[in-house]
Amino acid sequence: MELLGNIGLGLGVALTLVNLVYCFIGVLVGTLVGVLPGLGPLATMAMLLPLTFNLTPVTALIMLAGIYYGAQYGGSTTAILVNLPGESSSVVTCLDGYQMARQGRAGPALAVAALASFFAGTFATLVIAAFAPPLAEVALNFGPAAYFSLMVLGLVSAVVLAAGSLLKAFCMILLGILLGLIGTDVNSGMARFTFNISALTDGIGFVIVAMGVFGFTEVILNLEVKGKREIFAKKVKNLWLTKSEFKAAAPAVLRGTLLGSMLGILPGGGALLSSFAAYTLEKRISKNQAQFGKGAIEGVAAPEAANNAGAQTSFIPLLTLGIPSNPVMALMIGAMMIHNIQPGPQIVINQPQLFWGMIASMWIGNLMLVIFNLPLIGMWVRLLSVPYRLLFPSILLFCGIGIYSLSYNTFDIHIAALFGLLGYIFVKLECEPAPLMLGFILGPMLEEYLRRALLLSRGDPLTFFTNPISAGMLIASAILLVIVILPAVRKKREDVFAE
Amino acid sequence: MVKILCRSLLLLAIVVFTVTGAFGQDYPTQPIRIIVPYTAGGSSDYVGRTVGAKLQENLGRPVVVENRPGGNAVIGTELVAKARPDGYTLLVAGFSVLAANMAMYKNLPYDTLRDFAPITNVQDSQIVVAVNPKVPVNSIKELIAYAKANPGKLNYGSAGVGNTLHLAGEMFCLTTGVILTHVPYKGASQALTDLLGGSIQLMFDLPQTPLSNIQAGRLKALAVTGEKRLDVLPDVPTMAQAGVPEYNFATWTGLVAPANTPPAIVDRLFKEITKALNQPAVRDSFAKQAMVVKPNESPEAFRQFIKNEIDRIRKVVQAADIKPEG
Repeated sequence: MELLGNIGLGLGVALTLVNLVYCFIGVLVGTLVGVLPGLGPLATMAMLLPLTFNLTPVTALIMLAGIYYGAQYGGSTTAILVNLPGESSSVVTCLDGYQMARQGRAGPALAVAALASFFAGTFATLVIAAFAPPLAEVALNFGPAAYFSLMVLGLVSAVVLAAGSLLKAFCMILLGILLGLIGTDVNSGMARFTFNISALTDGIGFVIVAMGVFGFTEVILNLEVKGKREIFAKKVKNLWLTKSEFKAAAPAVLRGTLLGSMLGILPGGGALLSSFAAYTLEKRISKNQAQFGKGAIEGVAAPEAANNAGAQTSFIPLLTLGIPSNPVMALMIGAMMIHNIQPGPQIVINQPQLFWGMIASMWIGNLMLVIFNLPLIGMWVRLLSVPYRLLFPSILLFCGIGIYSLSYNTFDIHIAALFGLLGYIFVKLECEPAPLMLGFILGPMLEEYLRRALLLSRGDPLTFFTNPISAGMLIASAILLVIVILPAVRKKREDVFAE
Repeated sequence: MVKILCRSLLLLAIVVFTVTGAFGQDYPTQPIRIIVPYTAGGSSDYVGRTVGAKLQENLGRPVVVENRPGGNAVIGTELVAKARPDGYTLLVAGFSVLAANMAMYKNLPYDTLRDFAPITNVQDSQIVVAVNPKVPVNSIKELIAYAKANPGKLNYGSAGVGNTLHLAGEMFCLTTGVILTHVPYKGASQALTDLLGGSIQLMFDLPQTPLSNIQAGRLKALAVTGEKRLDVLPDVPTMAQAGVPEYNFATWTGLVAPANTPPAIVDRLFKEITKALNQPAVRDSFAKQAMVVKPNESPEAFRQFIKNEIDRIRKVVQAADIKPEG
């Protein structure tokens, strides 16, 4: 009953004209920013921060939050249409979304991304409203040992991500981990593999690598095959989902939403993992595994749902504990500070209209996004019929602007170009970039949490087994490994018997 | 219409500029950039934006805050060190960039005293000792006794090797003679998560980060450094009141310009900034973020202050053997 009262209070705040207008501006700007590759919500929010000084705090935060989840929506559009992950979370969407577009199914891919995001956003908003405080406690129980085991589980499942050779996938993961280790070592403060370049002391940005190996590589590949691009705009059949597509996507959306909502709560990089995790899960349990990587609709629906749910629930540690789970959330804290609000456990008590108003506006914002994005699908698809000789320079230009906006450093653009070339070589060698990306994210975290856990246990490795959460995840990883290896073993034995 | 207005304004500006010359009295004639070498949202960003808004109001020129993070704040700092010394590029920097880095790193691409013209300090932040409530201590004295009775049991978190919070912790160990294990994190909020969860037992933190969790009773604040209690934590004693007056540690943030900026411009900025900082409303808004407004008497006083800080930190770094570069 209290929940209904709170939601009512929130809707009362969110439905005022001013807040509706700013919520709309937020999601609109967010969508645009998300569509433009690389130009992320962080740079945009930082630029718009001064504009919010004259607004009331709740209106300012509603707008800033709108930019954040609007960008999550927009990011999938370029991922599907031109294989460019506009946002780090839409890297996974590239895998099957772009393949769908190549088959003339860009419409259904965009539609399922929008619908999955909306469903996930609605569900996650309800989760925040109902369970935010107890869920924050769960997040706190995740110590360094538990995080380490979570990363192990993630890496083990990375092997599952690969479509082709297991050995190649393994090599790509290792390469990703090595690339991830560039930068300052947390434990000693030593700079590793930086060659005295100060731009490398913070490591290479995830978005930069992703733009290189996905976007730039795709441009090179397309220029290699003349005239190929024009074909797939003509093949566009329908803009909407067929019944069978809907049936295949619905359960995937449900699973993606649940997974994303859970992982989003963890401040140590959970939200970023969610889309990878959801994709892996779908691929494991799906009946048409062979379709994955070749345009499976579940491969778009599940990660899209997961990343949107994760983006939403990552507000839980911010609103309940004052802990930012990613740089965007840190900026939200900055915005609160400028408006003289102390983010943290006191917000719900001292500023109920702010807390519940923001939550209600998130749902309204998600609704706006779906209403506003569905009619746009036709327009986006038509964009594909733009001749490629015009499209690719603009893609590269926007990529350049986007990458530059990350930290105002031209060095980053050079790095992305380098990764574009590297990505081209990978394609020629038939090595997939997805395991590389996962290794890149997980590797450094794996090391960080391993060493921190061992530092805290004074070097005793048993800490990973005495912690119940950690032990549970290590057991799950072991089971998963056995499942991956078993079919191969069985096959070999059958081969032996056949002779 | 607008175009004509713009043109005539531009013409006017050129005329005024050429007639009076660039000797400070007509400064500023163009927008001023304030570089913050961290991502938006931290306390340096807060200083930059608050001071920037006031300067814009009083100087009648746009003041733009630019975040140039990366490389442990070295990238943004280097940018200003090499910028044209005309008063149109300023840097928000303090304890760690201007003093601690100088004491710790050999290969810094800048030298604080050679490359910058200090304008004024803006704020001081005290350090609060925050402990997880499960640790059975209720005062600093009890903490020291507990640490001595249970060697190797207490871990303190910091935002990274050589970071302010690390130095604050090492300084505490040096002055009180206890041994605590340092656990570095990627940023203070990550450490705060583990402090709340109990993986680590205490932090020597800037008050802004743990403040709301202290007020909510999720963390125990044992004492704050500095001469006075914090307005936002009136029940928490100072180190002197808690019986450990020998431990003193504060961080500060100020504004600097590139070296060789005309003294007239530095003086003008000094006057404008200190005037703004002395307004009660500005003081209050800083106080709410647990920062104490503390401008210097003159730009020269700020330079002397920075010099003393570098020497002081060098001693801590040597005594605690902190070598971030290995």
